[in-house]
Amino acid sequence: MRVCSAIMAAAFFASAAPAVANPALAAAEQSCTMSAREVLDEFIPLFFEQRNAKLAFETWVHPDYINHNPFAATGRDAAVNFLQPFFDANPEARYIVHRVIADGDLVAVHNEARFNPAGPPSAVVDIFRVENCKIVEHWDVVQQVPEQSANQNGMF
Amino acid sequence: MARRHFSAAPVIAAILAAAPALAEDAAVPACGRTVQQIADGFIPLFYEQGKVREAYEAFVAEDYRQHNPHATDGRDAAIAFLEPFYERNPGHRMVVHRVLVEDPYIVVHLHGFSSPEDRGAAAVDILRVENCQIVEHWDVTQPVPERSMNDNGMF
Repeated sequence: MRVCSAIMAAAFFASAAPAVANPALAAAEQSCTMSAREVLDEFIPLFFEQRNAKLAFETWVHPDYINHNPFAATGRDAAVNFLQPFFDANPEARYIVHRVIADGDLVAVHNEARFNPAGPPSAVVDIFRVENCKIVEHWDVVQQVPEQSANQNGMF
Repeated sequence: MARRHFSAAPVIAAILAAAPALAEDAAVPACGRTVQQIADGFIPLFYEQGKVREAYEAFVAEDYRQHNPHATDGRDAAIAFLEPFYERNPGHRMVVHRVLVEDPYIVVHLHGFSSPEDRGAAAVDILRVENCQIVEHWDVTQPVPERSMNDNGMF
């Protein structure tokens, strides 16, 4: 009887396991061996380059994601619900990632946000904290690139 | 012959003993300090103690490349910009909240404010190190808004 119920439980869990299309995530969930940089190496193309906020966040961001951006509500769903409609409504919006710097559980992404092709871009640094192969926390600083600069080097 | 044998033995022993240490220190560049050591030297002096000239003369290259759009290139220009700022704003403080170091970069996430009542600004400085000197600087600055959509603060 005990054996039977154990087998039933195992069968139940096996059938309940979601089908995971992403092999990197499947491997990560079995045993979390990815570094913070490796997680961002997966997240950056999906989010910053393809602007697939829903897939990027649902795959790599923890549901209880702590967001420090003062213009966003905290949590993964709030981020997706804000970002995906924005990208859908603004297909011209682009991010250019200029450098990625990782140290332990933190990764900084220095990027250029070009949300409006006619307007000035913004300089952004996003800092992500990774725990157990998921992004669990996010800070950012955003500054519009001024029209004139005291030097010839650009902001990136 | 015997004498040479005896004198060589301690030398060989010293080389063997030193070998693991040499391997561990392989990441230290020829100039003698790692990027982490540069960060550990510069951050307390500049951000915490506000010793602009001392910090810049000790750690920043003369031909420092500046990406802050309000400042010109070079170490002396940075000192000439920052020293009067501190003189005008003696209450200005920078609180460093997190530091990331990955050769050749140092990332400093900080809160700058001029008084305890001042909401101040969030900033990230990115410094590039070459030959034990800070040779390049980027930054992004954003005023801390009065209200936030969340209760997490900006830091």
